[in-house]
Amino acid sequence: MSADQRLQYLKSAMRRSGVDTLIALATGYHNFLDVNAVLVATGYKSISDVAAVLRSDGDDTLLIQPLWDFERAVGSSVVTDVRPVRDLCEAVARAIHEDVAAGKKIGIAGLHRMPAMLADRLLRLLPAGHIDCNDIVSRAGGLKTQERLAAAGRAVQIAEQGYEHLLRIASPGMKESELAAQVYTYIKGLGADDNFMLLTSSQHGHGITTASERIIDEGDVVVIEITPSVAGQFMQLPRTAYVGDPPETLRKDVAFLLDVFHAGLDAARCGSPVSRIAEEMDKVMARRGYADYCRPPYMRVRGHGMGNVSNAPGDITVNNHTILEEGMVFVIHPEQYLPDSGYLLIGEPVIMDADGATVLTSRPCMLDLFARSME
Amino acid sequence: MSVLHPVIVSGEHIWDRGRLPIDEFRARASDVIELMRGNQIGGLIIHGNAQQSDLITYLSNYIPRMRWAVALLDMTGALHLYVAGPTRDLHFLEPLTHAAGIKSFETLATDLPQWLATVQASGFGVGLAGYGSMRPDVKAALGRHVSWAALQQLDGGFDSLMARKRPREVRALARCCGQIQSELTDLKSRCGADVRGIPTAILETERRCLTSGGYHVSTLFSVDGGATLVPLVPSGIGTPSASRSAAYLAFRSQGYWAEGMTSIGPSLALDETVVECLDAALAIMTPGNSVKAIYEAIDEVRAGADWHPFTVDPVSQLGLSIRPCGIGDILLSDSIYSLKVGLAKDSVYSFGSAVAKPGLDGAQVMLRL
Repeated sequence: MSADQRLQYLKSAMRRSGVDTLIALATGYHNFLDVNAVLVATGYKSISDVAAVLRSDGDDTLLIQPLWDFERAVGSSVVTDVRPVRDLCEAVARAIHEDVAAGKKIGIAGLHRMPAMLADRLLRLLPAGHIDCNDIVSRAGGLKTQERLAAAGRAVQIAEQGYEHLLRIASPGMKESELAAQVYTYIKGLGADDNFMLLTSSQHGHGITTASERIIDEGDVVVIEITPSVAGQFMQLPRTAYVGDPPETLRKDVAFLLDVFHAGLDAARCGSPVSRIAEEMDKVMARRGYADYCRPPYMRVRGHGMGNVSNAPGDITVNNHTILEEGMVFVIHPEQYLPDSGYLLIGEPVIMDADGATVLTSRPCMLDLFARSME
Repeated sequence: MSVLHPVIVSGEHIWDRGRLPIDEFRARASDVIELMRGNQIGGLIIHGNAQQSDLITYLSNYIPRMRWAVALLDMTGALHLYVAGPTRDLHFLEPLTHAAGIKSFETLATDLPQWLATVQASGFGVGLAGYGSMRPDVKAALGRHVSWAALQQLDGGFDSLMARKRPREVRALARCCGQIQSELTDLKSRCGADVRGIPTAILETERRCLTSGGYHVSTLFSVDGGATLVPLVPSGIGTPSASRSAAYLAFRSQGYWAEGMTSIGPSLALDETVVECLDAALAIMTPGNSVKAIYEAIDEVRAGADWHPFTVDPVSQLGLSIRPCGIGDILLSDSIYSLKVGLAKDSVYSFGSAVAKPGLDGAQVMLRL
């Protein structure tokens, strides 16, 4: 399974980096733009603040809280020595006591995501010269394992099914929040363990956020991001739908943004920097006179990596010079405000393979219509 | 109670000006300013994030759905919010709060030095609340402008203030309790004597809570007769293998959290013991009594049954967060507490819960399951 392979990768990476003991830390908050060090190292998705103590050539320990989550931790972790703890900092101190006394080299990952009070205490117990291991944990999370790719594929399927459900049930007169709740639970029922979902309707939008109490009506443009997680692997589906018969300007703007998307897709090549994707997309924008719209608040990024095990290759921006590698999964989206149509969402989840970026959806992105608005 | 936190909280977040009018927030700010004055503090920096936002929400109504926010409060009561996230979306937050000038967190780098200079020129110190949950990278960003040693931590005073519930807070909590009572009662009736459908039933409970104006809904349930409780994460759920189950529901609306839990399935003798434990605990839920006394009252009637690991901290204070009480805590008259009792005996498990406001004439029960 993925967690086994990640753990073995981590151990060999620790040896290469001269790290004897690695403390991986995580909270109960699972951000889809972050790497969760404990999930990567053990396969356990935590409820609270937790730590995994890994040894390059020895036994590993998973320290968890709350006490009552012990059985779930044992069932999902590839680290078999699972210990429920009351005070995580004290437990980490005990777990690494002998390593520190023996002068072992200590590495740490995930500290920057921990609550300050706990992070302060943990820092006090670490020996001077400890090594930042966030990069090797991130690389372990990004391993192209069969299970990870299967999870990514399943997450995309769930997102597409959730979106089709949304198109079926949405109708004028429905609150955004009610629609979001229906889709959220539908997606959970399909097997997603989490979902980053944004949904905003408007006659002329300036952004996208979580569903509000606004009632959807005829003539609304509805922008949606559905981002389910399967086994900790998030995948994102950005879409735009219209309530009623869409105006020609909207059709043209969506078609234009699809051109922007394809420019980015074509630019995604293994060995090329991420920045090239954003540059090529911005060039298409500039050719239409929209160069000034290639910055906040008109857009945020041209896509991004998908945590919670790896966020590689990071945000798709002109400033990100990360080199694209085979197996990276991310989303390319020219999410964008355009002066005629407002804020629109176009894009696709992709995987990097030898020939470039392959789109993972079964139905290409287009301007969709709410089924019930046409009845 | 910690339950799997979602990547983003996607339920309904509004500022209900009817139920929580502006004068409610002014009164709260006035109390906080009094607290600041008493500590020789002229300005307060308040931090909150998606997991722990009670201090910011208490003053502003705003709850970060993801990432974090920092608020600055001065002696005039002016509250300024700095929210992490895309500047593109800041305008969506304006209807959610009365705070003046919602800005991006990045803007704090330019605004904070000037605000600090103004506060310090008044001769007063600067206070900080919500440090405990701050991430080190957020701390580093703030640390470029403030000297941590010079900041006076005000969490203790803030907590005391928030522990005593104002009338509108009691009503908000009562609405949450009503939702939980209704949903868990309905869940029991939908499952009936056959708990094999509990995962589907739990999902339906979540859907109903979200479509009823819930901001955040957290559930746990059991597929092994109550021995363990698990979140609805499909990869971790087995097929229910026992004739009984248990469900836990935490529901947040208008910022306020309540929680409840119950056994599901055919009744057993141990259920009666749980009822007796709850009765005994509620009978002594009076202001000034201790959490330790509640433990002892339950211990006297649990008839040889063991505490279930899920309820080793049976008493929690409810409000803008759910805070488990320590054994030495004293019950307050204006506070609201949840009480969870889980017992285990001979591989049989039973749960019950209540929410109550301690009173001199006995606890005012707001939820009982």
